[in-house]
Amino acid sequence: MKSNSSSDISPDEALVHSALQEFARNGKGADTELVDSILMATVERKTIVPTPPPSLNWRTWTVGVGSVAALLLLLIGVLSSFPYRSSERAHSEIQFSVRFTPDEAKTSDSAAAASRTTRPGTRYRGEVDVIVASPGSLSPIPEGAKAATLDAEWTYPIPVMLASEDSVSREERIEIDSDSVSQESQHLVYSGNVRLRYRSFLISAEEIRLRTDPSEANTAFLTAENASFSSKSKPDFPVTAAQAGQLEIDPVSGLIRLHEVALLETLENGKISIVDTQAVSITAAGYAIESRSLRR
Amino acid sequence: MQIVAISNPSQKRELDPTTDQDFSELVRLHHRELVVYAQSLTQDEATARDIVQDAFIIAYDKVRTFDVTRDFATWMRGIVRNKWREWLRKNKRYTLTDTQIAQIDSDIAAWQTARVEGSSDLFAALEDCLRRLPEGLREVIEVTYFEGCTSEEASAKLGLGPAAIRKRLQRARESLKQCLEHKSGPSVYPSHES
Repeated sequence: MKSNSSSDISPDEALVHSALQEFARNGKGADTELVDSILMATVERKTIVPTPPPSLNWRTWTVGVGSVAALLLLLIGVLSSFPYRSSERAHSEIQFSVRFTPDEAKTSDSAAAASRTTRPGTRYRGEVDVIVASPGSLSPIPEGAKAATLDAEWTYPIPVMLASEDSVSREERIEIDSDSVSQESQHLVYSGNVRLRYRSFLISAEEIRLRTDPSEANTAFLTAENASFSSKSKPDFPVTAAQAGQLEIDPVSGLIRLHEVALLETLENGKISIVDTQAVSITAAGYAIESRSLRR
Repeated sequence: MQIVAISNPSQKRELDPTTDQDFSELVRLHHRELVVYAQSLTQDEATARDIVQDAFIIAYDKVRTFDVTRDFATWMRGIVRNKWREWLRKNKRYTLTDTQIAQIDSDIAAWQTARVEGSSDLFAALEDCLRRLPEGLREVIEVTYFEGCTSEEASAKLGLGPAAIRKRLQRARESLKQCLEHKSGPSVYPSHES
C-alpha cells in the first residue's frame, strides 16, 4: 500500500493499521498460499540435506585452463504479493535472469571477452552471476544478493529468465545451493539440491538440470526433478509453454509459461508436471495469490 | 517429545510442534496474526511476510528447544521480534521504544488468545467493527485500504482535504481498536486512546 506510510501511523495505531492492510488483502480468508510456502520451507529443511560434491573439485576446475567462463544456472523464484490493483500490477513485470561472468572479462579486455562469451557454441568456464534485469535493461543484483558461484563448463548462451511482477529488491532472496556438476554426453548437467526463494514463493528440487542442445545454440532446457514448490490453493490453473529456459509465473493468475518449448501440463495436488518430447521435464508447481478485495 | 497444550479451535486437541502435521496446524493457526504483528513492527508488508516466514522456519529448526511451559504464540512473537531487530540493524530504519513494542505485543497477544480460545477471530471481528463505523470514517478506510489510495487521492475522491483524510483515518483506527479490544477482551495493557 502506498498510502499511509509509517510516518502517518503512530505506534498506537500500528497494529490496527496492519490488521486493516491484511484484511483488505484477504478479507477473513486464511492466507493459505503463504502458509503453504512456509510449510514447504520447513519440510525442505528437514528433507534436503546438502551434500558435498561427490567427485568434482570445482576449485581445481578454475585453475590453468584457457578459455574461461561461464555457466549459469538457473532459475527463478517468484512472487507473491497481494495486489489490491491486480490488473495494474500484473503488467509491471520484472525479469530475472542468470548470466555468467567469465573470469576473462575481469582480467582482460572486456570488449574482446564479451565478444568471445557471446559466440554460440564456445565453451567456457567461469563464475555464475545472478543478475536482475528489468525489461529492456540489465542491472546488477541488488545489495545483499547472493550470486551463485559455480565453476563448471557450459556452452554459451544459456539464458534462463523468469518474469515476475515484483520488486527487484527482493531478488536478494534467491539462494542457490549447488552440490554437483557433471558432464553428461553433450550436456552439462547441474544437479544437486537447489533452493530458490523469492519472497513467499519457494522452489526446491533435488535436482535441477540445465541442458544445451548443440543444434540450437540459443536453446537451453531446464529440468527440475523431484522439485517442491509452494502449492497453489487453486487446483487447476492453466499452464502453457513457450520458450525453453524461460519460466514465467504470473502472480495474479497463477499462469506458468515456459517459452518456446513444446511442453506441458498436468497438475495434481498443487504440482504441475511439465513434460515435453525432448526429454526435458520440469516438475513444478506454482501458486498465485488471489486478490480478494473486500470492497463491498 | 514435546507437547504444547494449545487449544485449536478446529481440532480440540493438543498440538505437538515436533510433528510436521501439528507444526503445520500451528502455522495455520498463528500465521495471519503474526503477519499483522510483523507489519506493525516493520510497516512494510513484504518485509513482514518474509520475517514471518523466516521465523517459522527458525521455529521449525529449533522446535526441540521449545519450552513446553511457554505459549507457542509468545515464542513465535519473540522470534518475529528478533528477526525484525535483525532487519532493523541491516536496514537502519526507524525503531520503536520498548514500551511501544510491548504495547503492540500485548494487543496481538490478546487477539491471538481470543482466536485460539475460539471467542473471536481478529478478521471476523474487524469486519464487524468496520460495519459499525460511522459512514464518514468507513468510507475513508475503504478508499485508503481497500482501494489503495494515497491521502491525496482519497482527498480528491471524497472531496476532503488531505489533513482531514488523515485525521479521519486516525479516528477510524482508534475506533476500530476500541471495538477490537471490546471483542477480544480488554487489552492487558493500559488503554492508550488519544
